[in-house]
Amino acid sequence: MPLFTKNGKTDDKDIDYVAFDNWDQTEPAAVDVPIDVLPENIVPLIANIQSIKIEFPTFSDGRGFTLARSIRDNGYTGNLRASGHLITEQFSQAIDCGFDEIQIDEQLAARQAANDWSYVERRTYRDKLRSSNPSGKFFPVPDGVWSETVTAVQHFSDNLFRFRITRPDGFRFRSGEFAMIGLPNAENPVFRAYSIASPAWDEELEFYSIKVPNGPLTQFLQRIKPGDQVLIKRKATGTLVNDVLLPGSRLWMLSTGTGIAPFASLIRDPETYEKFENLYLVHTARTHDELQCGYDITEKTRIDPLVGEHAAKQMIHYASTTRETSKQMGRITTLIENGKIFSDLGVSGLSPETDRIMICGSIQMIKDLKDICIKNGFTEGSHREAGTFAVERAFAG
Amino acid sequence: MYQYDDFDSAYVAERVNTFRHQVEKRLDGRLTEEEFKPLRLQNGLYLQLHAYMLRVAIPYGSLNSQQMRALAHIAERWDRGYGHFTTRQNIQFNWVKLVETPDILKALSDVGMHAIQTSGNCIRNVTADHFSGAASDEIADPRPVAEFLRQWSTDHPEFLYLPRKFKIAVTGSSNDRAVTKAHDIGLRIIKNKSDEIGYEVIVGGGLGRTPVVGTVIREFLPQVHLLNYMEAILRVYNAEGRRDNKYKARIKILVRELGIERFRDKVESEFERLNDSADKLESINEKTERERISEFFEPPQFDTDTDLFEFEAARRNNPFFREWVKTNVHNHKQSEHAIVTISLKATGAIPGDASSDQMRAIADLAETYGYDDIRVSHEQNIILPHVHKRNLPSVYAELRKHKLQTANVGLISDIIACPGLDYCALATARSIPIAQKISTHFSDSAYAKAIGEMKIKISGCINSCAHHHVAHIGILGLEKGGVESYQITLGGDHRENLRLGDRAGPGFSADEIVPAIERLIDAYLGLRLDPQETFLTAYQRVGMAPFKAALYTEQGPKQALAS
Amino acid sequence: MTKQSFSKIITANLLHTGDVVYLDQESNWVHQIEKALVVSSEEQIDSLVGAAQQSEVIDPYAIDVSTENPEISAIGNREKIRQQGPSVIAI
Repeated sequence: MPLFTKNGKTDDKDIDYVAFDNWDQTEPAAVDVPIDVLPENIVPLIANIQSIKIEFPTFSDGRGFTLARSIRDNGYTGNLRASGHLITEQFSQAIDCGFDEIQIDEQLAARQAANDWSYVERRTYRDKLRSSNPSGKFFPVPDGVWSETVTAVQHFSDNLFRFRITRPDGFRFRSGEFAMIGLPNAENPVFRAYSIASPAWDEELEFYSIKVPNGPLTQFLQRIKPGDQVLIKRKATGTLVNDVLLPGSRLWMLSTGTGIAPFASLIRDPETYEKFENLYLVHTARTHDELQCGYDITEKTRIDPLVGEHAAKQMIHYASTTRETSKQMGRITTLIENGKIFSDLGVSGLSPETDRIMICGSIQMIKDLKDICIKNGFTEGSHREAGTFAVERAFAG
Repeated sequence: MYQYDDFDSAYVAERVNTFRHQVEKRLDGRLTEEEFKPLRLQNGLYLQLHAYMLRVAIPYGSLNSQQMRALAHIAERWDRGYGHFTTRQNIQFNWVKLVETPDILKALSDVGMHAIQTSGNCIRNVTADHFSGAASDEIADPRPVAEFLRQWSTDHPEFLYLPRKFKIAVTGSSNDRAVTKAHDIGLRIIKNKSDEIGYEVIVGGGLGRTPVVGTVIREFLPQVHLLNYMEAILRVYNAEGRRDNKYKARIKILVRELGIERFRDKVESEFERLNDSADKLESINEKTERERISEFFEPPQFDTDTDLFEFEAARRNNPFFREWVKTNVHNHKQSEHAIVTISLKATGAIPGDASSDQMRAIADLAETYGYDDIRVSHEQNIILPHVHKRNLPSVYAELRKHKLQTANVGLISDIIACPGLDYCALATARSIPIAQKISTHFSDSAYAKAIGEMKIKISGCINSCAHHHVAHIGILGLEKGGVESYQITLGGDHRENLRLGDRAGPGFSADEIVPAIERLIDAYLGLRLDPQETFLTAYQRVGMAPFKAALYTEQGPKQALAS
Repeated sequence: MTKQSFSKIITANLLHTGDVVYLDQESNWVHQIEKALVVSSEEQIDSLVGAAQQSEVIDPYAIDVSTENPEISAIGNREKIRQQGPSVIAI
C-alpha cells in the first residue's frame, strides 16, 4: 500500500506489526496500536517499542493525533506510522504531530494525487508562539548591521546546535575570526560574539551555539528556523587566525564545547595546511552528543573538494568526554599534563620550537592551558606581534 | 486593538489560497463531499436550507471601522445586503456561493479577518466580554488572553478533529457578561491573595440538548501556565471524549461520566507531563508573547475634557435621547466616557441583522466618536465601547438616521433569537417570527420600561444557539406532528451564577406564544413587591407556581392543556 | 388519502451555489418543484439518491410531497420554507 513520508512517496517497508492486544509487552516489537488505546496506556511501554502504527478508522477521528503527540512528547524516537483513512489535507498536521509516515489504501491513493501528499513547509501558530521573534514585528536593522537569512539549523543535543546564514555581500573575514550575532527582536537587540565556523571562502556563514534557558540571546536563538532573520555586525575580528602565529610544523587546536568553531573554519582553509605540516584538532565536551559537531566537521573536511586531500593526510581529530563515560575521557589539561594525548597519538610532547597552539573554550580551560603554555616557554601572539600560541578571549561558552 | 503582524497576514492569506485549491479539488472530484465537508466547515462554510452560509469570526467580538466596512462590502457584493450577528460574536452571511467563497475570504484577510474554525469539531472562535477594556468593573482586559488563545488554537495540529466542537469564553470582570459557565472552557481573570493575576478555570459547561452548568476545575491558574493547562484539558478530551454518539460527544458529558475529580486528576497529570516535555510551549515565551499582545490592547488616549454641558442639555431637552441614555448607555471606567450599545432589535426587526448601510454608519460613528473601536455582543447588539459623553447627542442623532436608535437594551424587546427554521438546516421551528411578534406586541416603550429588565431568548431547536436555557423567559421551538410548538422555561440567569431555567409545561403554538408571554408579564406585574423587583428576582422569590398558573389558565389555549 | 400513500421527490442543493433543486424526469436538477419527478418506490429512491452523490449536487434526499393541488407542493414547514425561502423579510 502506498506510503508517504515528509520527503514524498516511498516504498512500503516490510514491518511485521504485532497487534497491541496480542503483544506480551516484554519483547521489543513493532506494534499496531488501535486508535482507542489511551495515551496513558501506551506511554509507559514506549521504551520497548521499535515501531508504532496507529490505525485511523476515519480521517475525522482525531484521537490518533493526540496519541502521536503524547508518544513523542514522552520521548519515543522510533518510527511512527499513521495508517488508514487520512486525507492529503491532514498530511502536514500529522507530520507536525510526530508521525513519520502515512499509509493509505490503493483506492484512496488513486483519487488523491501522489504529489498532494506533500509536507507544506510553513510556519504554524505553534512555531510563532515558540519562535525567536514571536511578534514577527519588524524592528529596524541597526546601523552597521546586516540582516541575513537562516538557511539551515541542526540540533546536536539539548544544549548544542549549529546554524547557517546567508553571507552578506562585502562581508570579509579571516578564517578563525568571530562576528557579533543578534536577532531582530528588539529596538536594541542583544549581540553576542560567535566564532565563524565556516572558512573565509564559503558562500554562507556557519555558527555553533549553546542553548541557555534564560540566556538573553540563546533562549531565542535556539528556536530559529530556516527563513528567519539573524543580525550580524559588519566587522569580524579575533586572534585565532594564522597570522597571529609564527610558522611552525605542528598546529594544536585545543577546544572545549562550541569553542571548536574557529577551528572548524581554519581546518577548511587551504592556508592552514600550507603553513603547518600537521594539524591536531583536540575537542573535549561533557557528553558524546556534544562532540558530534567535531566528528561531523572533520568528516566533512576530509572529503571537501578544496582541502580534503590535505586534511586526510595532515589533520588528526582527537576527542574526549569529561563527564559521560566513553572510550576516551579526560580534560585537555590533564591529557596534556599526563602526556596521554601524545602517547595516544604517538607523537612527541609540546615544544616551542616546532609547535604552535590555539586555544578556545571555557574561561577556566583558557586560563589553565595558558599557564601550561607559558610554563613550557611559549609566547602569546597578537596582531602586533606573532607568537607561538594564541587565545580567543571573546569566547565565552 | 490587535493588528495582524506579518505572520498572521501571511498565515491567513495562505489559508485563503489553500481553501481556493480545496474548492477546485472539490469541484473537479478529487475530494468527495464527505472529505470536503470538514474542510469547508473549518473555513466557516455551512450548507443551510436555501444556500451556503459563511460564518465569519469576530474574535472576542472586536472590530475596527475598516473591518466593519469590509463586512458591509461583503454583504453587498456577495450576499443580499445584510449580515446576521450571532450569539457567539460571529457574523453570518446567508446567501453565499461556494465558488465565490474564496474571494470573500480574500476580502476578509485583506482587513485582518477570517472564518477559520468557526465551524467543525475544533476549537471555535474565542469569545469575551463585549465591554472589555471599557467596563468600570473590570479586573483586567480579557482580550489579550483571548487573542493569545486564538493564536494557540488556530490550526493546532492535534485539536482539529475533536469529538465535537469546543467553545471557550473569557471574562475579566466579576460581573460575567461572557456566559463563561455555559462554555466548554470558561476563564475568569481573577487575582489571588498576593494580588497576582491568574485564571479561574471552568470546564464542562454548555447548553444544547443537555444543559450543564460548568464546574471549576482549577481555582487559580497562574498566567504562565495557561497554554499548557489548556493543552492538557484538550488532550484528555480528545483522547477520551465520546465519539460513538454525537449528542454525547461534548466535554460536558465526559466530565459528567468521569466525575469532576477523576477528570481533574487526568488533566493535572497530563499538565505535569506537558510541563516536563520538550514540546511544551515554554512559559518564558508565553510571557513574551502575552506581553506583546497586551500592548495592542492598551487603552486609547482618552479625551479628558470634563465639559459635559451639551450632553446634559440634550438629556434635559430631548426625552427620546434621555430614554436612550437610560437604556443603551453604560458606565465607562473613565467617568467622562460612556459605553454605547446600539440595539439591533428595532420593533419587528430580525434580531442581530444589520444592513450594509447600517454597518457603514456604525463604522463611521466608531471612527468619528469611538476611537475606532467596535464590539459585537453575544446578545446580538453592537457596542461602541468608548464614546465621550459630549458626543452622545451626535451619536444618537446619527443612529436615528439609520433606524439604529431603538432604546430597548435589557428590556423585553431586546430579544436574542437564532435564525431558526427560516434559515437553519438544523432548526425544528422558526424563531425570528416569534421574536418579531413579541417585539411588536411590546413596542410601547412606557410599558416595556414598566416591565423593566427582561431577557427573552428564542432557540429554534434543542441546540440552543439563543441560550434559551439561561433566559428569564426562554422559548424553545420544536416540531410536534408537523406543527411548530414552543416550550417555555422560566428563571434562567446568564450571569456569573449561571442558572438554568425551569420548564413551565406543555408547549404553545406560534399564535399562542404572545398571549402566553402577556399572561406571564401580567402575573409578574401583579405579584412584584415594587418596581425595582425584576422578573427574575420575583421568580426567584415566588417560584414557578404562580407563573405556571398564569400560563395555563382556563382561558389559556386548549392545545396547551390537551398536550 | 389513498393516493397519497407514496409521493416522494428527490431534492438537494447545487454544489456550486447551494441553491435548492429538485430532480426532474430527465435527471436534471431544476429549481421548480412542479417539474420534479415523483418517484414510486423505495428502490427507485435509493438508486436516484445514490446516483446523485456523484453529481453536481450535495446532500440529496427524498421528501414527501402533496400532488393534489394538482401541482406538486412540499409538505411540512421545513421543506415549504426550503422551497419558498425564509418566511421573514430581511432588512
